[in-house]
Amino acid sequence: MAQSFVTFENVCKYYQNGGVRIAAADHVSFTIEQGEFCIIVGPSGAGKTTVLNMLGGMDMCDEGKIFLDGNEVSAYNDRQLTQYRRYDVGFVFQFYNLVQNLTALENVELASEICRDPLDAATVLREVGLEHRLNNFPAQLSGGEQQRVSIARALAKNPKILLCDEPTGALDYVTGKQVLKLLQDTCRRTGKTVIVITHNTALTAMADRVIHIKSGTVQSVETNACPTPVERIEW
Amino acid sequence: MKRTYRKNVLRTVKSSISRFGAIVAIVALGSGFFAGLLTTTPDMRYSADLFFDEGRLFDIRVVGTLALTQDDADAIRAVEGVEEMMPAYSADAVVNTSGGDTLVTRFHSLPMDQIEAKEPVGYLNRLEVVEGRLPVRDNECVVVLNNELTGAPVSVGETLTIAPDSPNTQTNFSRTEYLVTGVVTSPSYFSIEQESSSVGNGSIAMILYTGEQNFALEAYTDIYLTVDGAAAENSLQDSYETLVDETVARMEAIAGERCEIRYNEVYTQTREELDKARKEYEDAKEQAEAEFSAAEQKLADGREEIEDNEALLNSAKTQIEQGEAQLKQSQATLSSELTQKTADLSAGKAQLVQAKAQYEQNAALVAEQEAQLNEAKQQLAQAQSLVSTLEPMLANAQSAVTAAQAQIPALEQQAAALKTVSDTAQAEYDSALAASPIQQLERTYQEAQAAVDTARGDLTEEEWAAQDPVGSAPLLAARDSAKQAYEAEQQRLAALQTAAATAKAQADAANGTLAAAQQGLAAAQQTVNDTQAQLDSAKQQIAENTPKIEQGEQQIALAKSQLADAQAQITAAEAQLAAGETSLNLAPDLARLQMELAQAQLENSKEEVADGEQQLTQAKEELAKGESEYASQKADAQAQLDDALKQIEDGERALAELEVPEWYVLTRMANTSFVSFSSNVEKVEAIAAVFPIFFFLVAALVSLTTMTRMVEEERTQIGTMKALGYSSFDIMKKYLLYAVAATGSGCIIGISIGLFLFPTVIWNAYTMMYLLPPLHYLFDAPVALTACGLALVSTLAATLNASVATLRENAGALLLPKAPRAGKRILLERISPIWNRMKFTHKVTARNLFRYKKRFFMTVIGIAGCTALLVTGFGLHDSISDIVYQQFGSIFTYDLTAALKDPDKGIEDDLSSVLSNGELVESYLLVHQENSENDLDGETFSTTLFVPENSALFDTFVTLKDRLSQSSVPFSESGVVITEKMSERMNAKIGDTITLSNSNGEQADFRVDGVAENYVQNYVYLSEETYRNAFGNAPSFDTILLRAADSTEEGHDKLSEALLSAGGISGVSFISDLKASFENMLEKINIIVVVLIVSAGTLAFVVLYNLTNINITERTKEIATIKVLGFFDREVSAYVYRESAALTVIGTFFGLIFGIFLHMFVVQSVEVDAVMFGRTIKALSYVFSAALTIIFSVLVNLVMHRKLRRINMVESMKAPE
Repeated sequence: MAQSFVTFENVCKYYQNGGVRIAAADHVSFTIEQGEFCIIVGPSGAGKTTVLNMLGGMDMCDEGKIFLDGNEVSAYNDRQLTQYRRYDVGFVFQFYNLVQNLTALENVELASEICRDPLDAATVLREVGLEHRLNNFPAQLSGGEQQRVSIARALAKNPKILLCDEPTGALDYVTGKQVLKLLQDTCRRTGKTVIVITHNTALTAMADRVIHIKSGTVQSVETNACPTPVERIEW
Repeated sequence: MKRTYRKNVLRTVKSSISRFGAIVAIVALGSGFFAGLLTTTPDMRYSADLFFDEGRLFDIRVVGTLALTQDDADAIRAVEGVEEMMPAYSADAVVNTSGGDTLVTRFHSLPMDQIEAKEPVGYLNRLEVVEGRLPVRDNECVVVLNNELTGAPVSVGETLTIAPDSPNTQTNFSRTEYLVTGVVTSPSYFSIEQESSSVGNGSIAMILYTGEQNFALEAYTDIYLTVDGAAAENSLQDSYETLVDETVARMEAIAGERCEIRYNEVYTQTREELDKARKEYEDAKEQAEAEFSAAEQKLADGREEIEDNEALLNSAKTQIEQGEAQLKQSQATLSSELTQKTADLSAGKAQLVQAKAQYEQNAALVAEQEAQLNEAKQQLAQAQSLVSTLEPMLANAQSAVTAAQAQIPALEQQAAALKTVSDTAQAEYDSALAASPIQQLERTYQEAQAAVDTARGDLTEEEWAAQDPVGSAPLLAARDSAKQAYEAEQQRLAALQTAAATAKAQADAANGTLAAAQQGLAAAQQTVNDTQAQLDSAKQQIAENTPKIEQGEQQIALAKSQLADAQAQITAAEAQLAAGETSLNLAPDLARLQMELAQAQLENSKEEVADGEQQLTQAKEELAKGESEYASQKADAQAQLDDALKQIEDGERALAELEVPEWYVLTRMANTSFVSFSSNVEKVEAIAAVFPIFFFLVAALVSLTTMTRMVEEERTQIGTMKALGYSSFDIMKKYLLYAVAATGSGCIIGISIGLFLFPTVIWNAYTMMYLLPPLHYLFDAPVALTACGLALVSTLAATLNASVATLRENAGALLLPKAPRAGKRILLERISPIWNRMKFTHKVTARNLFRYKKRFFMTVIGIAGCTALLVTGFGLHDSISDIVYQQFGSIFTYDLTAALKDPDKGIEDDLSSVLSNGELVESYLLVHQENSENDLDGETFSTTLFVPENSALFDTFVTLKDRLSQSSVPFSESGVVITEKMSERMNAKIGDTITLSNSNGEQADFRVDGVAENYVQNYVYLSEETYRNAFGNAPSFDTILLRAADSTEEGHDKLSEALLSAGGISGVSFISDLKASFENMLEKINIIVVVLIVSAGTLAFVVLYNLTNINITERTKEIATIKVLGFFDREVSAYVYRESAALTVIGTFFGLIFGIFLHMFVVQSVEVDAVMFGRTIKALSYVFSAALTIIFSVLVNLVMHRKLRRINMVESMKAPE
C-alpha cells in the first residue's frame, strides 16, 4: 500500500504512576494524507496531547511505529528528533508561548533563524494579518494576535506539518474562529498538512479528516468529503 | 498550625529543593565565615594561653646587670602579687656534638629536685617531654625541639661538649660534657625565630636545659615569677597586662634598693679581694728584691778578683812584646846591610855586562860601515866602464844621420816628375771621352736592331732571313754597320784609359820610395839622442861618488881605535867584581847565631803568660753563668709580679668602673616567641574583621532575591489560599517558615563548619612557625548567635517585604496570572548598527539582563566579590613575596652587621686587621643606629636614626631610591631621607619638617629631603653633621656594616668567627638569617591566599548557581518552547548561559576594580608599623583572578546543563501561572 503522509501503527505510550501503569496511548493507529486539515478530537485526558507530542517529536512512543513523509519518526534518537522538530514540524501552542522579551517579528525570526528554508518573517506576519503589529511586544498584543504570531512563527519555518494544540483554548469565540479560519485557509492555500487538537467536537465539521480518541485509543476515523467553512460552524 | 498547611510547607521545600539548598548554602557561607573568622583569634588566644598556663610560663622575668643573689630572690619573693618564683641560671656556649656539629647553645638551669615532683614548687617554664626523659643524673640534659618539620637539633643519646675556645667556660660552667636524655617543648621557646647570642656566629641554634649544679656562676642570671591571678587572665589580652604591670611596678620599686645592696656587696667583696691580692703582691715583691741584692753582691766580688788577675797578666804580656820587638829590630838591621851589599855587587855585575854589550855593538857597527864602503867602490868602477862603451856607439849613429839627410832631395825630384806624366795622360783620356760620339753610335745601333726585331715578328733572324730574303737584307745590313761603328769607338776609348792608369802607377811608386827614406832618417836621429842621455847619467854618478868613498875610509879608522880602548876598561872591572863577592859570602852565618839565642829566651816567658790566661778565662765563664742565671730568675720573678700587679690593676679598674647594677623587670612581652605570636594574632584579627561583612552582604542579597522570586511564583496559590479564607498572616507564615527553615539550617551548617574550619586552617598555618599544642575550640555563643540573628533578620525581612507586597493585592487579582511583564526596549536598541547585527538570542539576553535588575545586581555583586577576593588573595601574595628580596637584596646590599662592644674605643687593632683582610671583607662602614620613638596621634611610632660615618661610602651599603620611578634618592648632608612607610604614617613629604626624638627623648626638627623605598623597619638617614647640629652631641658609631668577600655560607661563617674572635664585637647578625626568618614568616600568609581563593570559589559557585537556578525555573516554559521549536541542547544552554556569561564578565570587571581597594584595605590592616608591604598587584594576578572567576562560572554552568536537559517539553503546554 502506498504510504500515507502521516502513519501511526499500533503506537503505545505508558506512564508509570505510583506503581500503576497507565496507557496514555493504547495501540493507536491512523493515517493522514498530505494537505489534509485533520482534527484530532476527544475529551480531556483521552490521550490527544500524547499523540500530538509523539507526532511532534517531543515525546517517544513505547511501542509501535510513527511515520512522517516516509521517515520513521519513532526510530529517531534525541538529536534526530530535535532536527525533526527543527525542520519538519511547526507547532502552535494553546498559550502561544511567545518570548515576552521579543517583538512579534523577532518571535517569528527566532524560529525562522534556525531553519533551512524559512519564509520571510515579515511576509508571514503580513499574511496572518499582523502587518501593523510587527514591532509590538507580546504583552502589547491581544490573545488572538498573539496566537497569530504563534501561527506565523510555526509557518515561517516552512514545516511539513503544522501541529496545533488547542489553538483556540485560550481565546474567545470570535477570535478562536478567526484563528481557525486562518489555519484552514493556510491549509487550503499552501497545501500544508494541518493537524489540530481540540476537545470541541463542533469543530470536526471543518476538517478533511477527523480522528476521535478516547481513553488512549482511536475510536473512529472519519473523512469528510466536503468540509464546512469555519464561518458557518457554530458552537 | 494546620496539618495540611504544614504538609504544604514541607512539600514546598521538597519540590523546590534546589532553591532551598541555595539559600542554605549562601547563609551557611555567610554565617560560617562570620562566625569562623570572628572566633579564630579568640580561639588562638585561648589555646596559646592555655599552653602558657599549663607550662607555668613566667609572667615576670627579672634580670640584673650584676646577676641576682639569693637575697635578691628572697626580696622578690616577698613582693606583693608574686605567686611563685624560680631563680635560674643561663649562659651561652659553643657546643660540639658527638654528631660532629658545632652549635651555639643557650644553657638554662632546671630545679632538679622539683622537676619530677608531683606538685612541683618553684618550677616555672615547665618542659613537656616529647622524646626520652628529663635529666636525673648530674651530667644529663634535655634539648628543645626546634619545630615539627626540622625536629630536634640533636638526638637523644648524643654527648655534647662545650668547645674549648668557647668564651667564659670556666666562670659559667662546672661541667663541660653533657648527655642528651630527652627532647622537650618549652613555653618560653615555641617560635622558630632564632634568638641572638654574643658567642659563636651570634644566633642561637639550640636551647638546652640541665641541672643547676652544672653552673659555676656565683649568682642567678634570671628570676622567673608568676603573678597572683594572672593565670586566670588571657595573657594575650589587655587585662592580663594591666594585672601584671601592677606587680612589675612593685618589683621596680624595690629594684633600686636591691641594686644598691648588690653593688655594695660586690664592691666590698671585690675590694677585699683586691686588697688581699695587693698585700700578697707587696710581700712577694719585697722578698724577691732581697734575694736579688744578695746574688748581685756575690757576682760583683767575683768580677773584681778576675779584674786584678787580668791586670797582672797584662803587664807580663807587655814585657814579652817589648823583647820580641827588639829581637825583630836587630834581625831587620842585619838583613838590610847584607841586602845592600848584595845589591851593590849585582849592580857592578850589571854595569859590566852592559859595557860588554856596548863594545860588541860598536865593533859590529864598524864592520858594517866597511862593507858599505866596498860596495860603493864597486859601483863606481861599473859606471866608468859603461862610459867607455857608449862613446864610439854615439859617433856611428851621428854619421848614419848625416848620410840619410843627403839622399832625400833627389828622391823628391823624381816623384814630382812622375806625377806630372800621370796628370797629362788622365787629361788626354778625359777630353777624348767628352768628344766621342759613342752615345750617338749606340742609339743608331739600337734603332737598327729595333727595326730588325719589329720586322721579323715571331721568327728568329735566320728563319726570317730565309723566309723574306728581300725584305730582311737592308734592314740587317743597316744594323750590322751601326754595330761595327759603335764597337770601334768603344775600343779607341779603352786604349786611352789604359795609358792614363799606367802613368799613375809609376808616380805612386816614386812617392813610396821617398816616404821610406824619410822614415829611416827619423829612426837614426832617435838612436843618437838615447845614447847621449845614457852617457850623461853615467858620467854624473862617477862625479858624485868619488869624494864620499874617501870620507868613509877616514871614519872607519877612528872607530877602530876607540874599540880597542873599551876592551881594556872591561878587563879591569871584571877583576874588581870578583874580589867583592868573596867578602859578602862570609857575613850572614855569624848574625844568625846571635838571634837564635835571644828567641829561645822569649818563648819561655810566653808559655808562662798563656797558663795565666787560661785560668782567667775559666774564672770569667763561671762569672757569666752566674750572671745569666741571676737575670733569668729575676725576669721570671718580675713577670710573676707584673702579672699579679696587672690583675690587681684590672680588678681596680673594674671596680672603679663598677656601676650600681640595674634590674630589668621583663614581662612576656620581652619574650621573642610570645611577641611574635601575639603580633601575628593581631594580623589575623585585622583580616577577619573585613570578610564576614562582605560575605554577609552577598548572602542577604541572594536570599532576598530568592525569597522574592518564590513569593511571586506562588502568587496563584496565595490567591487561592486567600480565597479559601486563610488570613494574610497564615499565608505569610508559610514563607516565613520556609525562610527560617532555610536560613536556620544554613546557619547551623555554616556555623558548625566555620567554627572549626577557619580556626583550624589558620592555626595549622601558624603551627609551622610555632610549636603549639592542638587548638582548643571555644564555642563563642555571642558570635554564633549574632551570625544566626543577622542571617535570619535579613532573610525574614526580605520574605516579609515580598509577601506583604503580594498579599496587599486582593484574592481575585491574585488568581489571575500576573500579566507578563512587558518586554521593554533597552538603550542598546537605539544604536541600530549594533542591535541590527545581533542575533535574536543575543537580543533576548541583552533585554533580559536589564529586565531583572535585582538578579543583575545580585549576580554582579556576587561575581565582583569573587573576583575581588581573588585579586586580594593574589595581590597579597604579590605584596609580600617581593619585599624580602627587595629589602635584603636591592635596598640593604651589605651582608652582615657587627655591633661594637665599646663604640668609644672605635675599631681596635685586632678587629681592624680582620676588617682589612681582603679575603674576608670586601668593604665596611661604621654607622650609628639609634632607636627613635615618636608619638603619633597617641601611638608610638618607632624608627631608627641611621648615621653613616662616611656618607660617600653609604650608597654601597644602602640603596636609596624612589619606589615608583626607581630613580635614586640622593643622601642629604643637611636634611634627612626618610623611608616610605614613615613618610606615609607621619604624612611627611619632601620639604616638610618633622620632629624626631633620639633615644634619650630629646627632640629636634629635621627637613625631609627625600623619601626612599623600604619595606622592613623605618629609617631616618642623616649625616653626622645633621645629627650633631640637631642633638648637640656626636653620634657614637656603634655598628659596622660589612660586605663579605665570600658570600657563601662558609664564607659568612668564617667571617663571623674571625670577627667574634678578634674581640671588641658584642654580636654579629647576618642579613641572610634575617632574610630567611622574614621569608618564613611572610610565607605563612600564603595560607590566607588559599583560604581566600577557596572562599571566592564557593561564593561564585553559590551565587551563579542561584542565579542560573532562578533563571531556569522562571523560564522553564520559554525553554521548553524553544526546545519544541527545535533548538539543540547546546543552543538551549547557550540561550540561557549567555546571560550568566555576560553577568560574569560585568561582575569580573567590577570585581577587578573592587579588588584593588579590598587589597589595599587588607594590606593596610595586616601591615604593622615595622613592615611595608608592596602596594602594587601584578598584571598576572588580575589575569589569574579573572580567569578563575570565569572557570568557576563555567563549572556552575556545567552543573546546570543537566538540569536544562531535563526540562520536559511538555512544560510548554502548561498554562501560564
